[in-house]
Amino acid sequence: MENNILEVQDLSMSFFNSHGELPAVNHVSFSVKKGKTLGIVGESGCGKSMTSLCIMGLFPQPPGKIVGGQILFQGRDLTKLPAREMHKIRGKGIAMIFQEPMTSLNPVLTIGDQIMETILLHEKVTKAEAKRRALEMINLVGIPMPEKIFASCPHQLSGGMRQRAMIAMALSCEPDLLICDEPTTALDVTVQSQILSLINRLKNQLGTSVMLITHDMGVINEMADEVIVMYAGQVVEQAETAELFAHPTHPYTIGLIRAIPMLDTEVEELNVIPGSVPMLYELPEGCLFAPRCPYATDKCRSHRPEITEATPGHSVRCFRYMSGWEGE
Amino acid sequence: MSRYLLGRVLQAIGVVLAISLITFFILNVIPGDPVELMMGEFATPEAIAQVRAQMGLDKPIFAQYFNWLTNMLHGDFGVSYFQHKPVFDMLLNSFGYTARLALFAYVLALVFGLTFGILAAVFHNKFIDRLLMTLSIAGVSAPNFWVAIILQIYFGLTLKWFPISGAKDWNYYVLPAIALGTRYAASISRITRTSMLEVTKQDYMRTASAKGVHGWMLVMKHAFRNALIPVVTVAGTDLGNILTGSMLIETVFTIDGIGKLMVDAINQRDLPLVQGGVMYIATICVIIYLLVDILYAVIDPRIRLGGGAEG
Amino acid sequence: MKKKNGKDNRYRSYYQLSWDILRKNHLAMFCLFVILVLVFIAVFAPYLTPYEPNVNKARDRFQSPNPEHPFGTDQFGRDILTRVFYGCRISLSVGIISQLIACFLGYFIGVCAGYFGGKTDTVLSFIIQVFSSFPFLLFAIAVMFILGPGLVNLYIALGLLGWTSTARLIRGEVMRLKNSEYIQACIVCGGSPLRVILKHLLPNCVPILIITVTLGIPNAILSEASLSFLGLGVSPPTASWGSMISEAQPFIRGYTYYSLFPGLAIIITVLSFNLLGDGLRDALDPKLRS
Repeated sequence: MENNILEVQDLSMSFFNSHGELPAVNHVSFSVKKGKTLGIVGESGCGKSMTSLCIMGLFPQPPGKIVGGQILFQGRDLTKLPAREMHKIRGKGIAMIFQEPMTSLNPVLTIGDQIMETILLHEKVTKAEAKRRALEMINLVGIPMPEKIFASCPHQLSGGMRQRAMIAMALSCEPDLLICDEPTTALDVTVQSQILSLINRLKNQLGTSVMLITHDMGVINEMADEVIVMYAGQVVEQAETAELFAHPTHPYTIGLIRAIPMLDTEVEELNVIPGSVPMLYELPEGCLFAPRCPYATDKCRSHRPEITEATPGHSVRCFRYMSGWEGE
Repeated sequence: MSRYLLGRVLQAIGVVLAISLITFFILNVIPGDPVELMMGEFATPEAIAQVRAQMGLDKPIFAQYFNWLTNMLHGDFGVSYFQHKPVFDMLLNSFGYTARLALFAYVLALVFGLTFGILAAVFHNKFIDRLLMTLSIAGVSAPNFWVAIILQIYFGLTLKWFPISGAKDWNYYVLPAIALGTRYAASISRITRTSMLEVTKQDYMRTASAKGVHGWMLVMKHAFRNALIPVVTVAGTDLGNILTGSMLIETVFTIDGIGKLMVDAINQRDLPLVQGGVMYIATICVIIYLLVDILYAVIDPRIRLGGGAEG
Repeated sequence: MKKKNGKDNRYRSYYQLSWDILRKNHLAMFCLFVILVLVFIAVFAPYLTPYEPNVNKARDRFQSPNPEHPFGTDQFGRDILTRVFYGCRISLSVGIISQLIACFLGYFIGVCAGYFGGKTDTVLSFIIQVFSSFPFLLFAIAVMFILGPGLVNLYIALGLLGWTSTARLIRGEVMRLKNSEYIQACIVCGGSPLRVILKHLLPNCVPILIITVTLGIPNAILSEASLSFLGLGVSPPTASWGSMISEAQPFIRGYTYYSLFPGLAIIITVLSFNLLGDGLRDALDPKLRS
């Protein structure tokens, strides 16, 4: 499709170690539309970060290896791209923001150095020009006193400031796609919303597409145009945000939405999904969610469901839906 | 920065004073009267007493210490019992040889240590890594005086490439410097490798890769500068050790440096010379460690600029 | 999931796990074996060769290696193999005993600095710094100069000087442990400092002590060799590897084997301890354990 900036098709990535082959990313397909935000949601360990690192080609390798599928970025398959081409795409075509602003910036280099580095690496500009653009970016992400921050080192900045600097760094070459891996998880709540609205503003201003990875349904609701829900390396549900929140279909998605704390409704206690994501070396035989699913049947425990389109634009991986079983 | 510096300088002065105290007192509890030793067995008790008074050895020990310390601050390290020359001049004359040898060895150690350490880390778990680490653990385990003798036998006597004694020209220093530097090249390469591998795991390395930084730029600009911090400590301590290690090497290669001077003084039980030599080397070491701490601040902005938001 | 040996790691103690890791490290296990052989040689040195280490036999001087004297003989006609075996006694005993002294000192100084903090810490840290500002060998030379040559003096000198790194590590560990809930609980419940230090902190510091002792031994052995080489170690005619190399030095022109064997003995011993120490560090360091 023309308006898809990124298309991931049937991507599988596995770790190979003494336990054998561990499928960290398991036949994942999705696409990011130009200028839109795709949210990927799931608990920690569900493969959402690994998916993004596959796109960047930055997953640990070995023991990780892409065993199938393709990643089409502007029509080019990133899984087959030579390293030299990949270096050009990182930072320029696709940029990434990480979860820990505390540790994701190089402690011995100034903020300015680190932003300028990206610009100098990808564009033929003079140092003075790079500095001007770096200052412009710092200004753009809403950091007061750009000159001072430019010359500061990461340890002198607060967490929120560091994340802003990270964003400035990531967007300095105006990438076509910005991957945000839990960009606000490590930050205070008030700072969180500032950073999120900053990402939204810059997305519109620069026309960047965004892939947002989070475990927080609230963040998804606020940011994403389209959502995929991942569980144990698989996509279990995919829909537009409004549709997903209106008609959550997969029991896991229902659980995630129920677990959002609501201020305006009175609840006795927060709903939680019992159990935890299975370890990759002890995946269940049937549906991966079956051990935690309140609706699981014998069929769920012995057979794996395929992902199918339930309504147009809304896909789900569940027998419950496939067999025509509806609602509660 | 200046506060950090001032603190370190004061601390260094304190350490030098403490070292002088230790040196003076432990070397003054030596059994046997140095004056009797110096004057030989035929000296009369009166003559000995006279010399003792002359040297101030009849005063209380604390007075002797302060006397010794103030003299030392004026560059007066006393007079050698046996050569009857001022200790300070003797040390100064010999220091040139030791300094040249130590510097040569240190440059070798740094160049090879850092290069091998970085290569081993970049080719982690590959053949080069295994080879370099085997060499370096062997290097750390070999006594340098023995390496010196083996080098003398092979490169000096068998191949006749280099002279094996004296220090007349630069080529006289080649074998001694290799013998002295090997162990420290090995220890620097080990710590460089460990530190580089540790840094490689850090989040900021992933950030740099995500920006498109790659190859040697990733290794040198992002990894190496962070990895240097622990390396500087080891490399600094090693410079001190090279200065003392040169004692053995100078003895093997008969180079008239401080080391050989000290070893001879020890064998003759020449107390002022030993005392002066120990103080001299120890002071140089403290200065080196001080420079290392300053270097720290240059490398690591967290020290230079002081604590920030999260420190 | 396949569990190896049918054992569940959750029910195995820290040291069992460490031992499992160490056992899989073939290099470290080989070094352990070499060290055990060296200990055997040191203990049974008199029974391993038919020669006396210190009896001169002018007739047998300077023999090259031959079936009767596999390592040859020295300038007094003494069998070099025998002397290397006896030298093993000196090296191992100096290494082990001096490091036990250093470990004891280092633990108590480190624990006092870390546990009591405040002024005690300031003073003890300063002492640690003073001692580590002295290049080790220089200090050892000064101390041996005063004490005079001799085996016991070597134990004392190297033991008194080798404690600083242990003390520094223990201090850091104790400062970390002191803030942990269970130590705090013990202090709040009125546990006396001595009780806390011995009963609760010591077991937690044992891994550090094992590692520092194992990695301290090779340094002590090298220092002993250096001191003996300078004539400040054991007094002649006692065989020590360092003094043998020193005695061999004048004869390097005509008789190269002499210095080779004691040097190789030092390398093998020191290398074994270094590699075992590295292996132990990997096995005992919980940070590296998954």
